[in-house]
Amino acid sequence: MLEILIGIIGLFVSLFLEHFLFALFGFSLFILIFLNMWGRVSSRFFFPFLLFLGISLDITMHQPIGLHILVLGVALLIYILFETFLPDDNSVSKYISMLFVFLLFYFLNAVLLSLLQDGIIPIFTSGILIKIFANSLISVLVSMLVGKVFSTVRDSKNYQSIRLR
Amino acid sequence: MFKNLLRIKLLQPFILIILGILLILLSRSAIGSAIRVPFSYLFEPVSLTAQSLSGSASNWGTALFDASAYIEENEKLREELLDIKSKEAFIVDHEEYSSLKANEALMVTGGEYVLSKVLSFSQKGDIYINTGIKEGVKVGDSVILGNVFVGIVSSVDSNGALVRLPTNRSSSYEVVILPSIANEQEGIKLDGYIKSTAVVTGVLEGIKIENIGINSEVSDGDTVVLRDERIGQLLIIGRVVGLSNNPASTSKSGFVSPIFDYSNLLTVFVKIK
Repeated sequence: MLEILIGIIGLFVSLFLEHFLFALFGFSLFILIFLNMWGRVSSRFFFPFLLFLGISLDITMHQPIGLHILVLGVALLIYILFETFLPDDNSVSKYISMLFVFLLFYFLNAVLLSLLQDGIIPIFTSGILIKIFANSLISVLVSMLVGKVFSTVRDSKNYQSIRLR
Repeated sequence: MFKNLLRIKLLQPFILIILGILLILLSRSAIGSAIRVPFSYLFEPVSLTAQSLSGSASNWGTALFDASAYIEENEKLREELLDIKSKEAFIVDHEEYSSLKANEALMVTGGEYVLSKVLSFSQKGDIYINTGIKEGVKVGDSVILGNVFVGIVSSVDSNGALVRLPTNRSSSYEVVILPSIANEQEGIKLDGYIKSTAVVTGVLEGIKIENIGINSEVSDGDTVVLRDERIGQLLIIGRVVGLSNNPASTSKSGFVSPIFDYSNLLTVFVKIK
């Protein structure tokens, strides 16, 4: 019951912050929440939450419904592939793979949105590319901070339990 | 069973991809609008508030070192400027306007308009406005300011709508080109005014105008007027600039300089009837 309540409040807060940050800087909180919470929250609650958030974002941003979920699926697939070949600890390689996933998310989102909505392939100007790279870099920095916070509060091997030492 | 499938890490992306594709296909059917309405009813107030706040934050960020009066004054001046520009862009004088009405079957007089506030502008060539189904806005409605064409509603929800600007790469309209000094040519009917017909399309650089008759006397600064069946109104888009004059080509092309910068728009009118 508590999880459902947190989920509903989280949905509204995430939606508000996503719109606020996206309109201001073109920054997406959706992928940031996903990559940082994935594996740390029970998938039983996490995936329905993501599904609702994704659909709500598509609708309120006037995008084709399912776009966020589709892009997230592709981004997750690439992230898992990176995780398979690179060490899965709080090392540099993890954050490099995260950077690639963030970049992929922003590119794929723009390409698929333009293709599905207008039927054209978008053109990326240098300004857009810089914005995407800057947003991805900021996302990685936030992820590093989140990782640091989690490692100090919770056990790195088991996120379900709080570190006692 | 689904819960167990979700626990398998490698299956999660594939589940998301399949779900995403299914939702996209579903949104293109009649069920799509059935999903959209309750979601937009629930979440659009949140998104509208966030966008409005981000607009204010952006204004404050830009004028970080100035007083709040500066922002208000700036917005007021922008409103006034747009108003003046849209009035100045009135096709010609009253006589010519009457002749347009008499000669042009496409001209629709009157109509019902909804005043809308522009919430955001995207570089892709869209603006997001704060009126939607509740106010009677529909997909395909034309959005104007004065006599100037702003765009067409491409997507609508209960509290907001997305307007596709002429700069959007998927925008394409039929236009006519009128002389820039048409008001000085007294007694000429519409047929006499039209220098050429043409087609405007949105491109990365702005609005491109093509298929201008090679023998027409179109020159830079001429007025580009929208005459498209989908709009049903004669509305100004802008002025011809950068006209190419290649003798080897079968038609002339160039660019259209919009009457005003679309990113500066604050309020627009949606023609709902």
